[in-house]
Amino acid sequence: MQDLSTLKIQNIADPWDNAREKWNLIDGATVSDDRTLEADVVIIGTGAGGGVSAEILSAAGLKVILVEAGRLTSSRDFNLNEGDAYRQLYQEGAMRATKDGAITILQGRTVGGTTVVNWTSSFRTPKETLNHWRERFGVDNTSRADLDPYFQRMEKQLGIEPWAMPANANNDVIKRGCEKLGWDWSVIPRNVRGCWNIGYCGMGCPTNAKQSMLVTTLPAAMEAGATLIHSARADKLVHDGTRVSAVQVTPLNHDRNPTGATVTLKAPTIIAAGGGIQTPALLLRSEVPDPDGRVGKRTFLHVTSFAFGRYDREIAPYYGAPQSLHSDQFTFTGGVDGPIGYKLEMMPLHPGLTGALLGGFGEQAREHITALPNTAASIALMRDGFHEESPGGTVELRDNGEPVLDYPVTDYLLDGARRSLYSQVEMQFAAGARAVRPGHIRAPFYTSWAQAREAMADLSYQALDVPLGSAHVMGGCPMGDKDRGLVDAQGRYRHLENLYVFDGSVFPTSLGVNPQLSIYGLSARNATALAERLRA
Amino acid sequence: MDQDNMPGSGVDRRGFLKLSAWGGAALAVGAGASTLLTGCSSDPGPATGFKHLRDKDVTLLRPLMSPLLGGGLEAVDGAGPDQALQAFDRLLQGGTDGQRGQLFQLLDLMQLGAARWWITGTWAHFEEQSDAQLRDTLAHWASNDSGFPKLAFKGLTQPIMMAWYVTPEAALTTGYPGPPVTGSNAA
Repeated sequence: MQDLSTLKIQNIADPWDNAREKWNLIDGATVSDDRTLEADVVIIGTGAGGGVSAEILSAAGLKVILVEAGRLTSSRDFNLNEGDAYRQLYQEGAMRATKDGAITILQGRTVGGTTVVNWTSSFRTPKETLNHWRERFGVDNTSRADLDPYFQRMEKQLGIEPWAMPANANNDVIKRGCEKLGWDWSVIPRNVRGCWNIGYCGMGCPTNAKQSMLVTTLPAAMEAGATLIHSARADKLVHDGTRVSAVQVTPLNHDRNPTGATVTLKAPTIIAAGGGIQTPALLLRSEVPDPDGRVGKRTFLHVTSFAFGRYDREIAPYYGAPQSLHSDQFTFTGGVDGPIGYKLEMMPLHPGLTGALLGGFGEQAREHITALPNTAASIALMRDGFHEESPGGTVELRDNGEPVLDYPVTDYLLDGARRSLYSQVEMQFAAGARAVRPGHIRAPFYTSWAQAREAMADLSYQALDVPLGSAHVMGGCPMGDKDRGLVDAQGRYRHLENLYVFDGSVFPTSLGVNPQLSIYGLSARNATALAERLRA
Repeated sequence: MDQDNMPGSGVDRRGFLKLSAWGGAALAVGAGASTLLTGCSSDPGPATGFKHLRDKDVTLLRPLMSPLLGGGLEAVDGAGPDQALQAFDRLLQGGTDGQRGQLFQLLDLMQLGAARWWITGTWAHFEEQSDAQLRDTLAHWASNDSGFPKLAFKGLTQPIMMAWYVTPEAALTTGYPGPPVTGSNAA
């Protein structure tokens, strides 16, 4: 039996050691008096877009202030306790869901954003997707040839390479299943250096092997003189309808309640990099000019279905690199804008997430969860946003200003969910599963593909019947030409002259691949161009 | 937008209901809803030893813990329903006011006999049901194909399952050997 519980992780170098002494670091929890800070550029958010932008702009000699709602935690704090991770590192404590409760959303909330908790999969944006953006949304100068130099630069910086070690047993399901069925599969490029292969990417990497923003671009920006104020929520952009003059920020205490102070950040250039949901919410709270009412609309999720396989051999789905193999057998099968396509991957299973996803109650739920060591979990990420019946969701504000995503689960999406469940069940049986259960509240574990195929035809495929999740929030502030885009391809907000958006919210559709490298590459391109303009 | 209020502003009752799935449900149970709304404006605060769950939530949920977790509670030495509720409370600590507000609306709704009947198929308070009855109640609720009971079942049971199995003690009862040792514990 695999058992890493006696493995000791110690003496790990942490770039944030002595950060308060060596860098310009402000903990919002300690701010009890109103203050105003000024810089050349204010960046709101420290995830994939904010981190990359901060490094590039700081290196160009610009004075940068980063503001982050999450707290600063780093490898010395990552204790691999699942509950602590959700509470400290995830939006809404990992309980974020769409308005009707049908889709659970995992998204980071910490210094480094989702890059601190993602599972390291790093793909370049597919050509099909970029071509679609050009044809349908008028996104110019953003072909693969335009972006490849920036992808290459980020791959080099973040150690992105196909995973060279053997896949864990969970991911090996992809290889065994797809080989037997003659389906496409390949190795996932990961942003790691010296990875210990232990499997805790989702709880904050304790060895700093994962090349997240927390250990790469952010320390580089700090070293170059940037200021980071963390535990501080950007509430509003102050603007006069043409320019943003300041960002109004609320420092938060350890319980994430306001300390009572207000911090005002002033700069001639403002970058929104809070990611999908957060950036549109900031723009909505700020009542920015938005003549066509686009802010927050067309928010996409790579809506994800699940299937659980039980194997005679040990899977230990909690250990080992969480994602190392994938299949594009169904990603673009129906054309870029046909019936929804989906990418097959695996997901790591730790007990808490497993308990939530398996559903059910009582003795049967208990029986399912106690089979955890022999359970594998596949996922299918559906490419939303490419078809007219896939308009995505709309970011709304609760009365207290918190965002909530209204994402109707359409028949188009449910058709994809149904097909993706069939594919996953077939793949897991082909991989040697003794029993497979599609993610559906009325489905049992089936004991053969023939039995499953027949029984699954009788299931109803409706929202809440099929548990759905998302770890990729995209869109809500889309790039495009004047008629279709809120920002241009350089990330400049079309209706406020000094506001830029450098994060995943600028994607006009979902991607068809895990998004981090797309955000890195596009942000690197746009931040480099911005730095050149600001220095000119 | 209905309102552009900033965090900390007062909750507009009608707006709150309009925006909320649970609120829509509260209106659907008719007379009972006025009780719920009164409850909204006089929040009693958390129960002793809890940061978020209120006395009435603890009383409502305590009887459900053992049948819901189906042996998961008993598998941990010395654990009882209060440990599970503490775990739930800790999970809620990661949430937001708006999100917890929705949960409390559901829990307030379930204080009402008419709502329990609609959602779970029984008028009786969970406290007044035996373990066998509670298992039947949960089974009836879980198999209900109406939208709202289905949403309520997921909305309540999913975080409780998660909350329990993220505790290191309960995690070890699933066959998971536990995480590597970090920090000062590794020294």
